[in-house]
Amino acid sequence: MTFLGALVIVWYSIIPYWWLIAAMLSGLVLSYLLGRKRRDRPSPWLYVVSIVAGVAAALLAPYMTQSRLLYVATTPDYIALMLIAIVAAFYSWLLLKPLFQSARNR
Amino acid sequence: MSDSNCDIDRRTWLKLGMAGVVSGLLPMPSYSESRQSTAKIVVVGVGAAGLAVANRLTRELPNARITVIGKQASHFYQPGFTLVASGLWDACKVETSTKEWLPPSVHWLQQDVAEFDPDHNRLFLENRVPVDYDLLVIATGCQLNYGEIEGMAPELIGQHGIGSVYAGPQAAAATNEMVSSLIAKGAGRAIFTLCHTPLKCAGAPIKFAFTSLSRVMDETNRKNYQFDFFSPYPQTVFAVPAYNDFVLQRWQQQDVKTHFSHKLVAIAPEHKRAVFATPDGQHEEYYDFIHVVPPMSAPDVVRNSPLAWQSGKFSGWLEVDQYSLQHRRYANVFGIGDVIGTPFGKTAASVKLQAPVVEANLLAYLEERPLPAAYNGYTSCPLITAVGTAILAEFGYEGKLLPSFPFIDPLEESWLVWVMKEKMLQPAYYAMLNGRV
Repeated sequence: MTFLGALVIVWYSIIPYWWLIAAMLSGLVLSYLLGRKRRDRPSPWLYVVSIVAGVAAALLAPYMTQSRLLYVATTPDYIALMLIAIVAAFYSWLLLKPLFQSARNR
Repeated sequence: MSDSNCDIDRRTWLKLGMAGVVSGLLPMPSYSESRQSTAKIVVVGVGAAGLAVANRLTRELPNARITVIGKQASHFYQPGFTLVASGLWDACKVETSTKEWLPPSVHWLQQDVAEFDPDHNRLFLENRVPVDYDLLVIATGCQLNYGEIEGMAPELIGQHGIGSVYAGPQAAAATNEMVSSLIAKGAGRAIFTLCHTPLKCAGAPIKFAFTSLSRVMDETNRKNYQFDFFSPYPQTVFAVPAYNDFVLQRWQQQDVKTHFSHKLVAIAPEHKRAVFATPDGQHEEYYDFIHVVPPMSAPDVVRNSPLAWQSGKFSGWLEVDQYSLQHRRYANVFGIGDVIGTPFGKTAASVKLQAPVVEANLLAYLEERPLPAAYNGYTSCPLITAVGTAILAEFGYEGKLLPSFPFIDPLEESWLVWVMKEKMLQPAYYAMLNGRV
């Protein structure tokens, strides 16, 4: 498969999830609006919560695709789960950072 | 499952996608010359192959007069039938309107063809109206011949323990109900069959056996069930040796009994008995659930026409060169999809590779150039081995493995392949219908 072909398929694949992408972006905007006046260092708990969210997303991903963790068996499977964990953790960090800053300064 | 699974909105998004952003952002394969041909091109068939070719030709030949012929108002995403029959998808998730996928500029004759007259570059519709052409693309798909099994009819699917994933989304849903009934019963015998003809999506009978077994193992006591697979071929359930060996080994581990050289010839629904022809004569088997795979052929209108192979192992199927997909005797006729008589190539993924070949060769034919493109027999089948895992089987002529992704082992069960099958193949299919991949 060509790189371009893969891109087209990815594009078509994400079309049904535009609402989710929009919701996630809206969540980020809302979070930054809520915490916009705080620029302090965030609580260390932010990292803990983000990592927990990432790990949880990775563990739940097989079940969200009507599969199970038992079937995660190949190297690409593990890499995919790790990517899910990293993306989910990073998103959680972005989402919660302004709120954790706010919480500490309240 | 809830109706939210039925992606009505997705279709709207797809339309937007195809019309706008994709075409704007992503360069599409195109040919260097602007083609001003006003050729009269007829595409017969409104399935995956017909729609993919119609979309591609419309883009490449804006001045050509393209007519698409086919009666089906609904378009079915057939690779999803196994998922419907396995209780994983709703039937409505695989149904869209044919009209949504047709390019607006083509002329759609919503009828079937009654007769081909290739000697006069003409065909006749059901109402006997003749349609002339300069170039003909045959993409009729194949015909399911349930009637060749004595006592069997598509209407029986969903009754008397009879299932079949091939007959359409409602039949697939009814098949799911039959499997659910078997599971609810708590014990019984499930038998799975394979037809003796070339068949579309040859992995479907195997996948369905695997998903049914998976459901029984998950939901009830496996020990109370007997699973049997009957193949008309000796020692073979799948044409590619590597996957055949894998499946047989796995079934041995799972205590699925295999019976070779058994051809389903009759069924007695009221008595739940199936009759198989074997080299030693006929014998009956009792079942609580049976998965019937109908014998398949090219549609009668093709197999009774001069366009069909007149002899040989593909007798009755469309006679095309297996590489160029051009008809071997009528140079202005091309074939694509399930109807063609070639060693492999009866899956939706095959169409993905065949469509650009037909397009390139048809354009070359118009310009009187040598045909530049060759189809390598690429056939792909995400072979589901349980609900939640699959193997990405990709192969071509002579059973050669043709993996698309270097990082995915073509013989290894993988959750990622399952995700591709369950989440990404349908979008890829729709991109193909639009002629985008």
